[in-house]
Amino acid sequence: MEQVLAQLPQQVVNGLTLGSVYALLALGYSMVYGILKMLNFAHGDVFMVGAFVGWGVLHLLTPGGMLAAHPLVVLLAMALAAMVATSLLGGAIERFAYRPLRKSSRLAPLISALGVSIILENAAMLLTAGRAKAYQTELLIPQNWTVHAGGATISATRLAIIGVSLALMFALDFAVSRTMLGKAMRATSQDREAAEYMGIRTTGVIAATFLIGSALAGIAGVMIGLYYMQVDFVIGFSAGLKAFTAAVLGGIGNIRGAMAGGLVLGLAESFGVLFVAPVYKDAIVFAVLIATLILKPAGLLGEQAHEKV
Amino acid sequence: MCRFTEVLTIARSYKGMQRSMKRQDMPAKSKTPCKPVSIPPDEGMGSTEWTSARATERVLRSLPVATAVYPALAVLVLVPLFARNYYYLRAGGSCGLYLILALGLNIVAGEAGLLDLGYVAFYGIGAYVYALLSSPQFGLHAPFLLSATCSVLAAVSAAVLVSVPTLHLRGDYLAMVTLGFGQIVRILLNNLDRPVNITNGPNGIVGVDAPNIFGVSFASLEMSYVLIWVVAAGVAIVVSRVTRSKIGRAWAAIREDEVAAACMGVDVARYRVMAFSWGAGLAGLAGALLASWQRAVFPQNFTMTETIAVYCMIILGGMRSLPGVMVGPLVLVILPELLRAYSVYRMLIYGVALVLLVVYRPQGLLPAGASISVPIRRLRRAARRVPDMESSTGAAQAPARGTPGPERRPTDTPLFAGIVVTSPAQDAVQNAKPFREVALEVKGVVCKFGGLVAVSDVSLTVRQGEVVGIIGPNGAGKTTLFNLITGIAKPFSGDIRVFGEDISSMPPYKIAALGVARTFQNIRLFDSQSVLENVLAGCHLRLPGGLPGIILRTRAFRAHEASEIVRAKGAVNFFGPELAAKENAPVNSLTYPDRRRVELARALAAGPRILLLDEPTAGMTPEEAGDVVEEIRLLRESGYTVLVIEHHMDVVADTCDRVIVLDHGEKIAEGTPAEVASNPEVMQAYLGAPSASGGAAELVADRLVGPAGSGRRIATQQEGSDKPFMESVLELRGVHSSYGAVRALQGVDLQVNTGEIVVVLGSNAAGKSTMLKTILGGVRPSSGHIIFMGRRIDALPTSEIARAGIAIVPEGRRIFPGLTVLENLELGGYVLQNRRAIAQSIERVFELFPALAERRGQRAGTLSGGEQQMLAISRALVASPKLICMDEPSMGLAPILVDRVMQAILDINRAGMTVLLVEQNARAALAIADRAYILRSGRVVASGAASDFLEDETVARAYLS
Repeated sequence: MEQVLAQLPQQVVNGLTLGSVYALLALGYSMVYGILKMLNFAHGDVFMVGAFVGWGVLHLLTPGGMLAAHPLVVLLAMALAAMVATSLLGGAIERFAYRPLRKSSRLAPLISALGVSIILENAAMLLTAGRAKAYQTELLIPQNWTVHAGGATISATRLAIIGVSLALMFALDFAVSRTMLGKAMRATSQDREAAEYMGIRTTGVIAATFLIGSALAGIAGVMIGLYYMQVDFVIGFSAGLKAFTAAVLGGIGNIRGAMAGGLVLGLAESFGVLFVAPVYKDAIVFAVLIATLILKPAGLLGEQAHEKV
Repeated sequence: MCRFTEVLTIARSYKGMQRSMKRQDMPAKSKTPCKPVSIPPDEGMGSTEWTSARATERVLRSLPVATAVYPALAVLVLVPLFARNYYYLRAGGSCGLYLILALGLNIVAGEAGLLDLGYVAFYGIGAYVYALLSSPQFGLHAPFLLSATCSVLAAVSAAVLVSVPTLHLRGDYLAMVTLGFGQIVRILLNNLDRPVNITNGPNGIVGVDAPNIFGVSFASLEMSYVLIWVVAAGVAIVVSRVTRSKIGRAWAAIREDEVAAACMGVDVARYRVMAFSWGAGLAGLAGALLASWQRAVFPQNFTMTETIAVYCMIILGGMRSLPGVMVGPLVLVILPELLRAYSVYRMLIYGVALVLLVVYRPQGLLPAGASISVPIRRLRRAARRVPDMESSTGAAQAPARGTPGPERRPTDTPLFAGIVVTSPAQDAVQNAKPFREVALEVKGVVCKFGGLVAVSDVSLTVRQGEVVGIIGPNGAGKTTLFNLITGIAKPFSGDIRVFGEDISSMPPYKIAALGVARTFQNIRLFDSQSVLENVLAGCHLRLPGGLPGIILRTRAFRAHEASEIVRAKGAVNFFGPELAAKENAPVNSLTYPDRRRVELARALAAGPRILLLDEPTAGMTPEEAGDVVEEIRLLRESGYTVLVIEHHMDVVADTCDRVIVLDHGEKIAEGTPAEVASNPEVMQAYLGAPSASGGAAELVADRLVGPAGSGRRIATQQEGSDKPFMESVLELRGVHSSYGAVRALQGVDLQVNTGEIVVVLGSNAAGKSTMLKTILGGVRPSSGHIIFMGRRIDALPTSEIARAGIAIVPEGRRIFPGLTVLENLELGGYVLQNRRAIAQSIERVFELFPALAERRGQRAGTLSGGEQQMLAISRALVASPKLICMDEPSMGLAPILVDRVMQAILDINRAGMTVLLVEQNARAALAIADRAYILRSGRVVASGAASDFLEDETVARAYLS
C-alpha cells in the first residue's frame, strides 16, 4: 500500500499527460458526433497522419542530426504543418467519404469511415515502409529539464503536452461558447433545420467542424510523437479507440464531456497500473467505460434524450 | 352534416362497387341488418385472376432463396469433389466460417438493429471453449459435439451477461459497451497465461482435436471443409426460417420502432436479448469450427479488425438479404486474394473499393427486398387444414344473416375477413344484454411530465361495442391519454382497467396481450417492411413462436402460420382490393392515406378487443376522410370497441356513440355528439383556445365562395387603412409541392404586401405548414414560382432564403434548447454578420419583450411554453427581416397566452413588419390580420379581408353541429 501511495503522484502526472492527448482526440469524435450523429472511425488515423507530418518536418529541419533553427521554431513549424495537413485531410474525408452518404442509413458512413481508415493506414505503411520513425525529442526539449513536485518527476515534455493541450481546450471551449461560428455549430448540432432558418450555412459549419477536429488530432499526433519518441502507422487505431471511449465516457456530443472523459480515462489507465498487471490497463479502461454507461447511460456530462410519441 | 353526406357519396363512387352497394341500404345511423362486411378468404382467393397474378409474383419473389441460395450452397459444399487445390480449400473453408459469422451478425445488427462492435468476442469465446475442452491444454479430449455445444452455450451465456444489464442503453452507447466487452475479452485471451495458465497467452492453444462425429473423422482438409460448409448451409436455412418467422418480424419491429413494436405485443427486452443470443450462439459455433479447422486458436484471430471485416461483409453484400449476406463473405475473402498480385497495394485498393462501394451502393450488392414467400396454393391448402378456420368462416356469415337488428354486435374478438373467434352462441348471449361489459375504465388518472400536468384527473368508461370519440384542442392531453392506456406513459396517480384488469403498471406488450391495439398520430409503421409484413407484425401474439416448429416448419406450424397470413391478408382486404394489390410493396412507397390504412390493418390483425385510433383522418382530403368514416362505421357494425381521437367534428358526429371532450388535460364534457356540440363550454374551449376553428373558417369559405366557387376572390381594399399603398413582398404563383407521400400543395397562389398581416387558415394538414416549408426551401416546389422582393427564391437553399430577408417562427418554436436566451437571439441575428448590429437589434427586441431580457442568461429549454414562443418570435425579429413567417404561434398555449402572442404580433406589425401568419386558431388570427386565405387540401379555396371572415358569428355553431 505504501508503495502504491508513493507512486501515486507520478501516476497522476502520467495520467494527466496521456489524458490530455486523449481529450484532444476525443474532441474531434465528439464534435463530429454532436453535429452529424456519426462515428468517425477514421479520426484515429488522421491523428497518426499528424504524427507523421510532424516527424517529416522535424526530419527536414534536422539535416545531419543538427537542428537548422531554434527548437521553438521547429516545434511551432511541426505543430502548424501537422494541423494544416490534418485539417485539409479531415475536410477532404468529409467532402468525399461522408457528405455523399448524409441521407443513407446510419451504418453506411461507418463503413465508409472504416474504408478511409484502411486507406490511411496502408498509405502510411507504404510511405514509411512499415517501419517506426524516431522522434528526436531530445533535440527539441532537453531531457534533463524536469520539475520535482510532491514526489513526482515532471519532464518538460510532459509539462508542455499538458500545457498546450489545456490551452487548446480552453481556446476551443471559448470559441464554441463565445464566437458566432461556435454558436452556429451548437445550433446546427441541436437542430440543423432551425439553424438553416437562421441563415446559417450548415454544410459549411459541418466542414468547419471536421477542419477543427482534425487539426486538434494533428497536433495531438505531434505531441504523442514527442512523448513516446517514435511513431508508427498503427498508433491511430488504439489511440482512436481510447479517445472514442473517452468521448462516450464524457457524454458524446458534449465538448466539455470529451475533455473530462479524456482526463478520466488517462487517470484510470495510470491508476489501474498500480493495482493490476500493466497488460490489463486497457481492460481497466473498458471496464470503467462499461460501468459508467450502465450506471449513467448518457455518459458523465451527457443528457438523456426523451422520445416523443 | 349535409356537406359530409355529399362527400360520402363522392367517396362511394370512388371506392369499389361492392362496398358502396352495401352502404346504399344502410342509412346514416345504421339501424338496419348487418351484412357480412368483408370477403371471406375462400371467396377472395378463389378468384383465378387474383390467384395466378399473386402466385407468379410470389414465385418471382421467392426466387433468390429457393433457386439461387440453396443450389449455391450445395455447390459450395461439394467444392472438394472437383477442386483439390489446398489453397482454394483453405480460402473456401474460411469463407464458410465467415458466412456463419455474417449470418449471426446479420441477426444482431441487421435484423434487430443492434450495433454490436464486440461481436468477434463471442467467436473467440466459442473457439477457446472448444480448444480448452478438446486439446492437450488440460488433457481433455471431449468429443466434437459436446465441445461444440459447450462453445455455443458459453457464447450465449456471455451474450445474456452483456445484453441484460444494458437493456436500457440505446444505439451508439450500446455499441460502446459491446466494443469495450470485445476488447476486454481479447485482452483476457491474450494474458490469461499468468498467474494460472489457461489460454496459453499470446502463443495460443495448439494441437486442438480434429472433429470426430460418431466415429467419422473430419481430420483431412477436404472433410473439414465439407463439415464447415454443411454447418454453414444448415445455419443459412435455419436463419432464413427464423428471420422469416414471427421472431424475425419482432426483431424487425424493435429495430424500426420499439414503441410501435411494444404496442403490437412484442416483449422488446426479451427479443433484444434473444437477438444477441442468436448472434452470439452462431459466433460460438463458428468459433468451435475455427478451432477444429485450424487445429489451433490464437488471440489475434479475434481482434476488432475481424468484427469490422464481418460488418463490411454484411453491409456490402446487403444487410437482411440472405443472398447478400452470402455474397459478402465470398467477395471480401476473394477480393484480397485476387488483389494479391498487387502485393503491398492490395489493402490500399481494398480500402478505396470499400469507400467507393459504400458511396455508390450504400444499400449493398444484393439488397433485401420485402418478401414473404409463401406460395399461394400451399397457403390455401394449409388454411383448409385448420379446423376452426372453416367454422369461423361460417360463423362470420351465419349470424350476420340470422340475427338482424340494431343491437346485434359480435362480442369478444370481432370479425373481419371472415375470421371470427367468437362463436354464434356467445354472440346471442351478448345480444340479449342491454348493457355490455365495461371494456375500459379510467379513474381519476393524472399524468405529469416534469412540471407539466398533461392529464389531470380524467375518468371515463367505455363499454364493449361502443365507439367513443375524444376531441379537444391541441395539447389537451388526448394522445397522452392513449399513451397511458397502452402503457407507453405511466400515470402519476389513478387507475386504468382493461376488462377489469389493472394495467397502470403493466408494460405495453402485456397490455397489448389483453387485447388493446392502437394507431399513432404520426404513423408509426415499420418502414423497411412490406405491407403484409407490417400487418403480420400485428399478429405477433397470435402466431406460434416455438423454435422447433419454426425451424422444422412442421405441418401444424405451417397450418397455423398460414391461417394468420390469411388473417393478415383479410385485414388488408378490409381496405379494398387496391391496397390488397400492394401487399408486397414496401410501406414507405405507399401514399399517405394508404400508410394510415396499413397501420389500421396492423392493429386490426391483432384481433383487438379495444381499438385506439389516434387521428385517423389527419392529413387526408375530405374524400379520403370519407373513406375512413366508412371504415370506422364498418368496424362499429362488426362489433369493435373503438376509442378515436379526432379533430374533424363531422367525422366524430358520424361515427361515435359518445364523445368526450378534453381541454388542458381535463375532461370538460361528455355526451352524444349533438350534446357536446351544443355545450357552451366546449365551444369556448375550441374558440378561446387554439386549433380546430380552422374548420369553422372552411365553412365560412364555403359560404363566401359557394360550393361551386372558383376559389379566388381577393379583396384588396383595407379597412381603416392608414398604411400606404403596398407593394408585393412575397408572391406564390401556382405552387405545387409534396411532402413525403402527401401531395401537399396543389397550385397555391398567394401574395403578401408590405406592412400587412396575412393569415393563412385551414384545418390540420390542409397544407399550411408545407406552404411555409416550401417558401423557406425545406420542401422544393415541383412547379410554380416563389418570388420574394422581385427575385425568384424557389431554388435557393434555406440558409440563402433566410439571408435574403425571410425569417420564420417555426411550428413547435424550434428554439435551441441547450443555448441561452441571449445566444438564441444572437443566432437570430446571424445574417447581420456584425456583432454591434446584432447587439443593438437584440436591445430593441428586449424593449418589446422585457420578460426575455430578465432571462437572457437562462437556458432556453427551461423556459415555459409561452416564453419559448416569445423567444422564437424575438429570434426572428433580431435579423430585421423583410418578412416574418409564423407557423401556428398559438399552438399549445393557454388562451391568455394566445392573446399575448397575438398582441405581440400586432405590435411588431405596427412597428413596420410584414407578417405571414399560419394558424388554426381562426378567431384569434382573424382579429389581428389584414387579409386571409383559406387553404383546404392544398388549394386556396377563399381569400379576402380578414374582417369579412371575422364578422360572422355563426362560424362556431356551424362548425360544431
